[in-house]
Amino acid sequence: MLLSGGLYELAFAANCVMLALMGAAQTPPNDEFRGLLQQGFALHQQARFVEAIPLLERARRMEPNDYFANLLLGIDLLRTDKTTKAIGFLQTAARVNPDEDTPEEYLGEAQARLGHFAEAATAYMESVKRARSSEESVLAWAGFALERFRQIGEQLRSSETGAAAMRTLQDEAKQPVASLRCSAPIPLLEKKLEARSANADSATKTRHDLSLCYAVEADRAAARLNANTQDQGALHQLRGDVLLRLSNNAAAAQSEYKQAIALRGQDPALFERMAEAQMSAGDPEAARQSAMTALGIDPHRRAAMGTLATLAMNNRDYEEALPWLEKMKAESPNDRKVEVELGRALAQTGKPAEALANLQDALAGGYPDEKGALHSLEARLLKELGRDAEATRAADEAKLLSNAFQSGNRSGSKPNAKE
Amino acid sequence: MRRSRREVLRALSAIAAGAMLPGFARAEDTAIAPAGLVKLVNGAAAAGLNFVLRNDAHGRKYQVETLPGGLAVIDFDGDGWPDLFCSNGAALPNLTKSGPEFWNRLYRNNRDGTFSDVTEKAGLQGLGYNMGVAVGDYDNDGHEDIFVAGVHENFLYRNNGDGTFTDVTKAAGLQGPGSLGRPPWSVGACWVDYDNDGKLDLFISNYCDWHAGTDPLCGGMADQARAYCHPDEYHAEPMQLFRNNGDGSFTEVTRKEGLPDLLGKGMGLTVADFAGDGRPGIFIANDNARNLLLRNRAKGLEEVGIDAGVAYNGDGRNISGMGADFGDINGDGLADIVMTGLKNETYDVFLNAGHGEFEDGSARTGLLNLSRKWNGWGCGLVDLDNDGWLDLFVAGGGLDTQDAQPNRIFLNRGGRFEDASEGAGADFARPAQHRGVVFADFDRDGRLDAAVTSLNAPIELWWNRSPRENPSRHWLQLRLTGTRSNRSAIGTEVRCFAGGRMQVRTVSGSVGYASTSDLTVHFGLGVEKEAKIEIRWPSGKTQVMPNVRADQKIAITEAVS
Repeated sequence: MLLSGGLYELAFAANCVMLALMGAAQTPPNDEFRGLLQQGFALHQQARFVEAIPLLERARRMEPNDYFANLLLGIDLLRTDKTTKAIGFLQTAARVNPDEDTPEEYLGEAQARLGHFAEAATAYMESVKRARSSEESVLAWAGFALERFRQIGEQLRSSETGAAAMRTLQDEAKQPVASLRCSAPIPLLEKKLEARSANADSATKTRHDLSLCYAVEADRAAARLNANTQDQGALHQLRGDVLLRLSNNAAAAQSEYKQAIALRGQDPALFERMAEAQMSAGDPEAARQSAMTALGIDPHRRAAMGTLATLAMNNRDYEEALPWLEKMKAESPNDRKVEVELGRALAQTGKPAEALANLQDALAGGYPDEKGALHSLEARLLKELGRDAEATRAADEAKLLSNAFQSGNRSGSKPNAKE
Repeated sequence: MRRSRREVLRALSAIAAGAMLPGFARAEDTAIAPAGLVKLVNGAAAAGLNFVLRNDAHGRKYQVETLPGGLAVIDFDGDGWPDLFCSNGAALPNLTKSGPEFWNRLYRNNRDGTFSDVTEKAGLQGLGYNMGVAVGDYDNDGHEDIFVAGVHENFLYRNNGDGTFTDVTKAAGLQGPGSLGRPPWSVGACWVDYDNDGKLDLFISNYCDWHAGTDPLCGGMADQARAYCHPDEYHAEPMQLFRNNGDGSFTEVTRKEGLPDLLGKGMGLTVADFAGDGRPGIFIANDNARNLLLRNRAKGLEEVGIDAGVAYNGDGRNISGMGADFGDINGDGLADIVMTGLKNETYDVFLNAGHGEFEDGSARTGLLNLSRKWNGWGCGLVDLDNDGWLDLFVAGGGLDTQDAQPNRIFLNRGGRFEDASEGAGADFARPAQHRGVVFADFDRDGRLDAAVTSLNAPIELWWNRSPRENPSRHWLQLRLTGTRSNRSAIGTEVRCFAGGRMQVRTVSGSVGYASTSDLTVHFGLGVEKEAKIEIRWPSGKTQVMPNVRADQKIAITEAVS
């Protein structure tokens, strides 16, 4: 089934190049350009992106506004983690051929990877607009919306006020999505979130609003796909995502993923999501196996690593959690949540200095500790390291934070709401 | 049909890289609880215990509805047979006991396996929306008294010694908000002689600042979507400490004793000499806040939760702390702590490492995974099978009606727990919103029984019908009376030496969630037929009793000289 999945991509690229070589709707290309594009495409087909890139770059220099040269180059740069560089070529491709949805879709992926979520949302929405009858863009947009819903939920859960907002959100998500309202355009809310990240309360409110908007969009996309698609695997996956991320119904999500896996048995994303659903449903052993299957297909699946790390941490099996957390940190050095978990695991495995470094990095990077739990852990580590004065200060800070939170005097706290 | 191109491309890249992770083989926990070692039979109805805990929940989701359920064992008539007192809720939102269905109840033990409701004669119907109960002889007159904690009002009932009680709350100086300036919502309390003057002082666990009509709207706008709010939506109220003046009155000393405001949404609390210095300390389980541990220094109480390693679990996380109990789980002679929480949080175990410091022992004791599925409220470390190891009984059940669960029994096998609930008896699996649990040998057959309250359901009385033979299961019970020390003997440390092992207990009724167990000290002796007993009274006096025969309940009075 891998090849059938791979054939989607290859068929798409082949079509692109065929059209390019035929010179459709463009100035007839010269032989050298045609040859470079053909060679670049051949390498692309074999996933030899690094080798394809110089050829495609040469082709593009010859035809700077060629749609396919820009598109293929953008894709291959994206696949080799040169995301920033890829964006320019994808933008050119999108501009050159304003009726094509594909460049916008890849642009969405690139922007999302860089954390430019406003731009990513804009690109995905443009892709859907351009696609009209294509389900591919709708699926990509829905996938992005659900992933953002998950990411924002994770961010919310990292603070207590955010967790409260998340609980509200989960309650709201249980209502029919049709009854939910999106308060503002998604790119605008993403920009707002970016701009006001320093203000905890405002950010929490924006995250809540944004999550609702993503829920609405994912639901719309699912409805559209449900009505039109022939790709049953994709449909099951999307249904599963909606059930897992929006409806918090892990059991039903598993059923959808199972059906999707039956159709696309080598798709690591499906096993990754299945693992998440199994973990949510309280079946850790099945979750572990699914996550390992996902990593067997693609060792870089971050969510699968996260599931394995979480499973191990849940069992207080710190030795097992550490390799996954370390891999995750290596790939995303600024992920504060990973730093905190790494700090916890290292603290329990006799590495207080490393644990402290991770914990302090996360706290300095703004990871919330409203109830003082992390400062308490920091105090313990400092004490272990013989830094008693600092340990006392950290413990005092933990008490201050805890008392401030409990008394409602914390920064960004809210008084008891009146009904 | 191009749906998976980016996923597939990643997969292709992975395969091109040739990287495959090794498969994981993981050893499963293969421990299987031996069935049939603890047998419990619910005999409440047959015994005449007809108490129903009423919270007056009608969909409005007042936060207070979730927390009533404290009860207490009291030998109010001094006949040596444990009686039972149950606190009750009230009508909402006015917090009044508008009818007998909301009365607190006192049941006298008829010494034949039945109980009689003597509430009216005792004058203990009560007032207000009650939560927790603490029993102790605060005036040292030989009759156990009752403190009832509740929403905005607490009550002290003095035992007149003739089967009646008198509400002495006002005269005792316990009426009103005290230093808080506003009426607190008290959940539980414990009697403890913190200044060791021979008179029991009172420590109150307060929850949060709540008034009817000020609950945030949680769960959704539609009536059927309403849910109880998370505790973080409320502000905590500080705990309170009242010193016994010795004349029937108390003085609040919370801030005067050098204690800072002890904030934390207090729930269950438990008392033991955890530091091994002869002075009892207090652990307070907090609901989604750092737990508090009060160490009793010679100069006074000091809050040491963070330094001692019990404020948060080993991962540095809070749970919804509900019930708690001290007890020596791993047989090293030191008082460990168990604290229950809601499902998926896993209960906390803090193993005493000596010198007043603790380590997270949830995984080591097996309770981490055993508790994952279970909401826990009241709890107690008690030797249910008389094998000399403290087992864990947990009152199960979630916040709301859709989350009813059965109680759980975790048998202690040399420091590691096994879930023995399935073999405990057919009716033990009945789900309910259980809350408080207390322990006593109500039928004096040498096996500890349990009484459990449930929201809007009849009380459960679990007669312990565990086998006493094959192997033999001997026991010993001690009822202590202080003379120089407080008469209830609370804070006394009792050591029992038998079969090459030492068991240690601190006399204290405070157990689990908002409740008080029998002050009688119970030791399971296994196959041993006698034991040496060493009693360390709070006064500093030590009494040693060699060669005490097993299978008896004996009364011991603190030696005067």
